[in-house]
Amino acid sequence: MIQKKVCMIGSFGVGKTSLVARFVRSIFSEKYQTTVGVKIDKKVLEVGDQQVTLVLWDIAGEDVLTTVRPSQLRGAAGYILVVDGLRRATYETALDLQRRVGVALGPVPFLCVLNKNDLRDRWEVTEADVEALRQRGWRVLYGSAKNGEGVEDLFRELTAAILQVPNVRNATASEATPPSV
Amino acid sequence: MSETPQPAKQLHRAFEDVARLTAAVGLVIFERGPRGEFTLLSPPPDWFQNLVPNVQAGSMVSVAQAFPALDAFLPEAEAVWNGETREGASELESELASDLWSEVQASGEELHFRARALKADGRHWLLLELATRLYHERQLVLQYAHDLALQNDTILRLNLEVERATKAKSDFLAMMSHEIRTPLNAILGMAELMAETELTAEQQKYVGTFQRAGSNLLTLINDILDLSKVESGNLKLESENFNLFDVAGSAIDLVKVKAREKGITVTHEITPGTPCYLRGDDLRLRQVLLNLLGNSLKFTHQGSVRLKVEPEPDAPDPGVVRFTIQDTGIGIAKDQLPDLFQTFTQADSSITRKYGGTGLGLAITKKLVEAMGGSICVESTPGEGSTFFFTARFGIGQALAVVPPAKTEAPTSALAARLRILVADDSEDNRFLISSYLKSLPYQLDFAENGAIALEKLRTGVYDLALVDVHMPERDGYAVARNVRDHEGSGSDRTLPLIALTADAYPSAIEKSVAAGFNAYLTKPIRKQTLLEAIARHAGVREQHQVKDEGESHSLTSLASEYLKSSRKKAAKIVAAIGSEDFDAVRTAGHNMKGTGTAYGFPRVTELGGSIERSAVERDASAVRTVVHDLIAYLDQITLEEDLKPKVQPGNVPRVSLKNSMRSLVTMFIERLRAGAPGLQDAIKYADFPAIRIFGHNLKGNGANFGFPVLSQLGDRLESAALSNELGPMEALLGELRQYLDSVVIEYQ
Repeated sequence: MIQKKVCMIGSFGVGKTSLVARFVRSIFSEKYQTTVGVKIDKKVLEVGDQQVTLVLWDIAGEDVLTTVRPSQLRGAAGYILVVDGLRRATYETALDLQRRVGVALGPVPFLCVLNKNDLRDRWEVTEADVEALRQRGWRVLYGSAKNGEGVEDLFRELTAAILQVPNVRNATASEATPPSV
Repeated sequence: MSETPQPAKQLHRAFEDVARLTAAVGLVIFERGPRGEFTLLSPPPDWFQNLVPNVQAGSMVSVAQAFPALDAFLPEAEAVWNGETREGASELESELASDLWSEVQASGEELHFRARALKADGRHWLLLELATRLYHERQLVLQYAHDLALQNDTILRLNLEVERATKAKSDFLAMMSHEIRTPLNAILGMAELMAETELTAEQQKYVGTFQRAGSNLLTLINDILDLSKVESGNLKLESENFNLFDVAGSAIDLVKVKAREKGITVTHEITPGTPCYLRGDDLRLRQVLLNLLGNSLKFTHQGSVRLKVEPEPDAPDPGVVRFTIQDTGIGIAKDQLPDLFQTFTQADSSITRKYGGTGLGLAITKKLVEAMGGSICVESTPGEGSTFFFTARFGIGQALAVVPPAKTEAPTSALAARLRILVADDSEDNRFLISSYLKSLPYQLDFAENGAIALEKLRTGVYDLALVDVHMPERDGYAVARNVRDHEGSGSDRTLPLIALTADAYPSAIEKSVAAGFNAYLTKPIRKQTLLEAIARHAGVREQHQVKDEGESHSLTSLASEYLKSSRKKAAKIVAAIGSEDFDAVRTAGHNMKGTGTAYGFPRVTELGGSIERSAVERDASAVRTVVHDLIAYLDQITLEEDLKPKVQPGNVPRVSLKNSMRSLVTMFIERLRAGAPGLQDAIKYADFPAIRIFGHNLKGNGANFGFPVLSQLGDRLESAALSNELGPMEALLGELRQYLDSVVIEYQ
């Protein structure tokens, strides 16, 4: 079976671990627990007619004490940049991380997810910010690890891009989370 | 069946013990073989079997495949195993630990690990250990760091929001101040012009009301700006050496004029032991004192206002001073005391109608006192009076050094020329006002109603000076100035004087206009005199009627006694006229005195003349009598002092000749002015118009009283310029003042 390494990248507390937990085990915990180092999780996924084991590298978020290291990224087939819509600073961090990860990994597929869409009314990240990312050619999705919105689509779309197959099952669903007003 | 030999049995038991121990401490041991293969040596615990099924002690395990997290660690471990250790390092140092990582089991349970590569006794080991405790310890530290970072982010965000809100408020106030000042400019200016025309008594009353209401509105705007400055934290207190006794004395001097008009005694007492020389912001202290003294005076109709200055008892340091302002006024009801220092609060809304005021004075006062590290409180009994107490904390200062005034070249004087002036302002009212101000002068005026037209005219026409409103459609005034300066280029030796006209009273607006290339900056409402002075100064000429060189001052002094005689006659006429209720005659006499007093060096006569005129317009006979009484008393006093007055000798150097009795007073006055010049310079530097106004006002009054008409006129001009917030002529006035002070020679007979 094909195995693909996928990294979760983003500032601390944006919900990388929660997105993985929601995707792999369909669970969500309100309790925030910082990840130390790397957390490895696996999930078998069927995309198109292929079965693939995603080895999910949930890398400790960037903060004053922790920096994402190139050695943690080595061999990744794609990555997901996670932004917390409630904290604009995490948007800036994502921009910076993408530059560094892009250098380390080269042109592998990636997606950007704006997490915590369930708390949209309190977001600091604006429509204009999102538009600016799209202008850079980024694929940007909205999601919520809390209620599961957009999570499955996120991983499926990235996997399809990695395998270079059309994401048939979610061809329409990938944009199923239009920005709420 | 033969029994297992004893030593073998013991060895087997020992192996079992080790296996139990390694499982218990969560340790798995591999040995790395010569080809890089890993053999599991310890019996695998349950958690290990969940991650790597079907292995037992002795099995070969593909560690890299089983634990992808070791991807980066294993190549580094090779270096340790291959002996790439530091020279002289012990075998125990030939060890490398991996970062912590976690594996999530199918059940969702997370296990935390650390790997260790070591070389001992020539063999290569890989230990895999459960690092649960270490993980949670690190997690706690990180989580704490994250909480702090989040709190920090929140604080930064809130600060940013507050900053944005404050800036929005500041911008709004600046904008409103502009919007209000622009029409106010037209109203006050037209009223000023109208007051100069022939008016009936009734019309004069109407115009007087215009002027008073306009001035009140201007005070309100200034108060609001002041308050917003305090609230937005833009108030910067100075830390300068100052003389506390002088500050208290000058505040008292200022209110005495008004007190005399109302027949109220104003006294001040400085308790022995009060430090004289302090360090702090004397201008703000003066503002507080003037606010409180002015307030007391306003609400007191008979009796007295007293200021007491003393060291604060029980204060830990000697720089804490207590000020007490006690009056015998109308007092304040107990239930109204708590709200007294709130913005826009007066004890009773009917007070605003009866006494005027913005209700901001005490709020500003309280904030200033707090900024000076003190507190303020009030005690009051309705019908008996109020007592305000406040404290302020200062540093202990030094006696002020007398700095020799710098020699400054006086502005060249010349006759008014036929200047070609462009007036660019989108407000028709303002264009009309400026043309009315300048109509009696031989200037050729041209007008532009927006920035684009102004620029076009400046490009094609020839002008000696341009007055440019900064807020105009098409191109704003800043753009016009920049464009003009850009086109003048560095090669041009002719620089067109550009004067900015604006209603923005913020210092940033001044900086902006200077940066754009303006030579001067006039704040609306613009007074006629200020405009004329600015034009004269920047077009390189001075108005003929303003040219008062020393020679002229001397002739004025020689005329002074004649003038005093005629004033006494006028005072007598007024007394007679009021007896027959001939208010027209009273008004004319008052108007005449108002117009001439200052010119002869007697600003007090101008002031009293104005009061007489106003009272006559209001047909208030008793008010006229009170003021005439003051006037006669003043004229008598002047006569008595006449022979004590310094006599200014003709010649280029002003020489003051005095009798001994007057010498010390006049010397002190001049010395105090010399010492005060740096303070004035600072006030100009910081565009502190209230402080300049007070300085100018004092100079105007004291200059006349001590027989220095030149100083009195300088004070008048400083006060006028400060009143219209105009910084342009200040430096030159300061220069004139210093030059005069530097050259004055005091002799005694």
